[in-house]
Amino acid sequence: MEEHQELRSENENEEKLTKSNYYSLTEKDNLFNSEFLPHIDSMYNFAYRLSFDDDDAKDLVQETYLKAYRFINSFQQGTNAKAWLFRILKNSFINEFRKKSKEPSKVDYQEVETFYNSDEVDDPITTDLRVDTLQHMIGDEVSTALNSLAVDFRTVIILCDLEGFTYDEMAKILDIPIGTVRSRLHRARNLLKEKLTQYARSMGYKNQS
Amino acid sequence: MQTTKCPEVEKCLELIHLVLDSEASSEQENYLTEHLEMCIQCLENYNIEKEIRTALRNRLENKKVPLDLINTIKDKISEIG
Repeated sequence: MEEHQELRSENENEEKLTKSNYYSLTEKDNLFNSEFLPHIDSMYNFAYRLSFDDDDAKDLVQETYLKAYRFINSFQQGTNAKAWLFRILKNSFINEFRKKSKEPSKVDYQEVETFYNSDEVDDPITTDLRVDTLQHMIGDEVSTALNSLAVDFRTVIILCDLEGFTYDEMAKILDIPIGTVRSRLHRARNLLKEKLTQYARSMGYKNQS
Repeated sequence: MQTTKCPEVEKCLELIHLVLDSEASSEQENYLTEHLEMCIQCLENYNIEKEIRTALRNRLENKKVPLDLINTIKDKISEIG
């Protein structure tokens, strides 16, 4: 709970700062180096998987770290620094980068939302996807399937499966209720499975047994 | 062993997700374990979901952080002070 408030305060920074900790310059630098910088690999890969662009990913990460430093007083030591940083990065992406990225995510998103809210959702969509098929797939194929998902669906899968965040942490990072995390993940996984199935079919994987 | 369709396949799938994401209660986990002994369809779903997670975790290539990025960040920060 406390952590949630710390995370929230990133957006309402100025006003909340008065209630926060004040770190000395040395403390700031120590925090930054020991708690924030070690996550730069994950941050960069998250940024790249959101933007699909090296320069955008760099800008996003840089901006996130500068913001984190500027508002470091609203970070509570001992809370989850990685979740805090991911939240800042995700907000930066939404505010500045999403507009200019090539992704037609709105259209895609509505389409799939409608589809997955319909009754057809109970239809098994994976009848011919098999474990051994999946085992034969290489990283490129998995990555193509993941990257073809609309950004909101891609994001929950990255946060959960690649970065290992809990549903609770994801709710805080994404500013959505935990029930929405659950349902969005569920849909995202169905979509991913469908993409993988299509891919397997197109590659003739289903003939293997 | 039940080889026909599971009447609750979609509900079971939700449960499978919770368990694989380590978000299930121990009751839910026990229920699923028992159910998977009875239901081939859900067992297959479980194995597929597990394999997809493994593939995502182990087979996606991570990009290397550009070498200059950390230094650029540190430089900018020392400007802020």
